[in-house]
Amino acid sequence: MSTISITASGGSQARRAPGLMGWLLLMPMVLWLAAFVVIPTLILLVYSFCERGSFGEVVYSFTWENYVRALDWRYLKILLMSVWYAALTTAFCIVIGYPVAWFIARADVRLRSKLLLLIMLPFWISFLLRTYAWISLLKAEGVVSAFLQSASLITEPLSILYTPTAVIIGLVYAYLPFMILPIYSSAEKLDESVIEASQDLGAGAIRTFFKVILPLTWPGVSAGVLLVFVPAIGMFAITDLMGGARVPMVGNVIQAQFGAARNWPFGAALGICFLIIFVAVYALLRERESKA
Amino acid sequence: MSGSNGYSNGTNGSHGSNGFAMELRGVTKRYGSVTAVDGVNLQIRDGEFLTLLGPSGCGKTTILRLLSGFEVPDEGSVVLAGNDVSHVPPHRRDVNQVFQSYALFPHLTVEGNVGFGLRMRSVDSAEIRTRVKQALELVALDGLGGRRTSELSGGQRQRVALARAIVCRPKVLLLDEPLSALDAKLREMMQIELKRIQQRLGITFVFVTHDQEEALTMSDRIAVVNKGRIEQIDSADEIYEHPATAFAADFVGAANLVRGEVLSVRNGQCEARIGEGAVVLFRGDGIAENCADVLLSIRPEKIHLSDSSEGLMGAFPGAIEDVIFRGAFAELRIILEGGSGLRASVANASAHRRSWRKGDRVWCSVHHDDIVVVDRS
Repeated sequence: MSTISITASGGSQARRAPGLMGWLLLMPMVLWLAAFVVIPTLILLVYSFCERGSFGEVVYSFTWENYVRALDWRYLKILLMSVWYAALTTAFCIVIGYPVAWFIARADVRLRSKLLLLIMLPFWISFLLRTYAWISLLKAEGVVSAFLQSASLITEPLSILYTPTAVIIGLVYAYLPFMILPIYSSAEKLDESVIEASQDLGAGAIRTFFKVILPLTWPGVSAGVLLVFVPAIGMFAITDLMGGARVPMVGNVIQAQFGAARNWPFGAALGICFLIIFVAVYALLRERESKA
Repeated sequence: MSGSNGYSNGTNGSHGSNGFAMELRGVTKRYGSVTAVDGVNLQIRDGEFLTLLGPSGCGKTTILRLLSGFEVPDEGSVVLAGNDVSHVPPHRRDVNQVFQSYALFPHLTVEGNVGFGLRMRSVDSAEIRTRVKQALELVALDGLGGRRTSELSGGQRQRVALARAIVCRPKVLLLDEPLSALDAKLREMMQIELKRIQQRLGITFVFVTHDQEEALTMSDRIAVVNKGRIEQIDSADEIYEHPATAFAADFVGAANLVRGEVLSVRNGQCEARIGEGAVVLFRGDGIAENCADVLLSIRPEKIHLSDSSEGLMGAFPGAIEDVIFRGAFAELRIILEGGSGLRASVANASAHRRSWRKGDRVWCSVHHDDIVVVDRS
């Protein structure tokens, strides 16, 4: 069994250590990460153990106080709600985004690039403008409400703006492209003959999807989950605007600590807790991927 | 061939379908304005190794896809073991396919791939294990069940694809140019092995290829496909010795296709002039007396060459224009008087024998049984 040599193309290539040139080429990336990721995170970590001075300045000391407070039910509840909203957003993005991505990936090559352009088109307009557009769509005297009323589908004016529903609509809208694009890229690579092989071996459409197509496009789905779930938890602009500050998510709380409340150490502690959740989600996805 | 290996599911004539595993009855398939398959009738016998042979784009792959269910005929019907399955989708047809690109599932191990079809049929897991093990033994991959498909060589992947299809015990196994991605040595080995496996299991094989050598090596019968039609279906030697059409003559083996002017038709014998001073005699069955022109197929190795015309009936003269030495034989290009050319091949029987050289004058003769009429007008 061990004597069979691997001659197949596409087998794993032996990894070489990068030479001097390799390290030089890596330097910009290393510096970037150090300056904008590693050092800020370390500063955040240090702050999270400090105390707030009476004028909102950071007083260097060592205390667990901020973490104890972060785990207080008041904040924990907001954190859990944020996770829940982000999870809902991610779920909707998968359910809506997967068929779209699949359709684009299977479309004619010329049509494909046009469809992809349509997906990316919204990025040409400022994110805030688009969010305000949603507000005018969803508000009680807005277009959607007027239409539904004139069609006698509802009797009262629409009242979803400034509710969790509006926040989720806003989040799904904002993050949908980040789900579609990675799923598209793995669906596009999927070999059509594998789908035929599955049918040939007795699997109908549904089983072919769950036993072959989904596992093979899972890398795209999991990249999409990371790209949607993580920023959705931290989002504060949409919750502010469409939730009317009545639907606080952890992003809003952290923003408030660094802003109005001027309590950087507590904000830092919340940020660190937040980071731990991200790492956990990421690890979970990787685990699932290596098993699949 | 017996049931003892746990595969041959009584495929040999047990399902009351007049001995045919599968049939196409007047099947036509069009793609837009292109007719890929044109009124094809095909009867696949139980337990045979049938090869669909033809150039790329001739419709052989479409025929295979009609059999597997990935295409639905525009006209006619597809019959499996006596039942019309024209509109039965592939996952409900009792046939399996080995794909050209193998189409292995990259997210599953070798065992996972081979057992896939059985899991879809809800076979219980203990039986799946034994059958997967048997199938892997049959294709000489025992012990590799736990590997990922990306860790296998091309030849091994090919075997996994084969095992994955035969483990389901299909009534008919369809193979779509499965050897084309392998190198020459491996291909030759797999040809012999495929034939061995087919004989052992007794499963009907339908094999698609554009490679005549592959077709000749493995097949019980060959169907020569051209422009969406089956030109001839017969055993390899029948097609070689008695090609029905010019295309069949040319595609299976090498052939001289020569036009002849009919001089006389008498007592089942026909005489035709194929060049100045070159009149050949051959069986004229089915040639009308008023027939003016015939197209003849003469295999290069059937042309007998000699220094003189002494003792040769109906020999005609020519000059050797070119000699290509091929080792076991030599290919000669002969120009007849009047300018038409013939290809001949001469076996390199002995080093003592004088070999032909460019410029030599020769007398050519062909036995009347070796001249086949492939077209008449």
